[in-house]
Amino acid sequence: MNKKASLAEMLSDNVIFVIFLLAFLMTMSFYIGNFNNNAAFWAEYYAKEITNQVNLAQIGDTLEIDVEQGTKIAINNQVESKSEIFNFDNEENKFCVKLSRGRQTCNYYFNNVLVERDIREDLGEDGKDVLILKIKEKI
Amino acid sequence: MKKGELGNMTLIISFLFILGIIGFGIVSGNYAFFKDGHDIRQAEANSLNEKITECFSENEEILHENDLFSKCGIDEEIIEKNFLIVIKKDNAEIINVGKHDETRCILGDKNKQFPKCKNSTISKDGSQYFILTGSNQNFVEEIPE
Repeated sequence: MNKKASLAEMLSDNVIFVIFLLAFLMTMSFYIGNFNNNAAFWAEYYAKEITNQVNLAQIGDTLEIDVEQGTKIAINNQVESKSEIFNFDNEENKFCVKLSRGRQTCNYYFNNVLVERDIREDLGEDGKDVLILKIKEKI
Repeated sequence: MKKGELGNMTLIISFLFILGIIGFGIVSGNYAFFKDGHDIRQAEANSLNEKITECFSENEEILHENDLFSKCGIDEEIIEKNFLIVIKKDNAEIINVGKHDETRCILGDKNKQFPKCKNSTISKDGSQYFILTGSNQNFVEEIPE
């Protein structure tokens, strides 16, 4: 039997399967990758989880929250500066997260406190972006 | 068409069918898990209940809404819009704030518009206080100025 000929024949027979498989894998990885970078989902997640932390906080507390995933998504979506991403409106007790241009997701907190926020880059164990919240008394 | 070619065509169709089933499984699983977004109504109801319970044990009796909001550091407007607080002293309702009532708490699991609730009971000065809190807060999307 001619081994070279049979290998070439086998490849040519299966090339269509390989093409379909590669197309499928690329589509799925694009779908999952896209979901991982889903600004709407992550904005809702951060808005809700951080307001809940503020609800539980007491005056004098300082909260340090890893927001690396959020800042990465925002920068990918052309949000101009990191200081635009997380914003507190102390008048209305409202916290907003902006991970894409032209849209922000907001949630309200019932704890009647004043929140001062700051983003520090490259903090934490792995050099990640950290949101620092200082909880103060509302005057 | 040769006999062998017909076999190959059949194999491609079944191969595509299997890929389709796998893809559909991944997409529908993802959709089923994330379709409701991130729901923290129960966590918010628990936080509010914890805050009132703590405040209640530190302060004198809270017999009026104004006492509750000023002594416990809770924002009244936010509660009226998105939360529910019911306090009963020996089964008599003394405080009821928020746009829902306690009967709707049961429907919180089935409908996102209804609150998810948490209740607790405290004994103080020979009286039983029943504290029910609920949250039906959904996030708001805005266009920043």
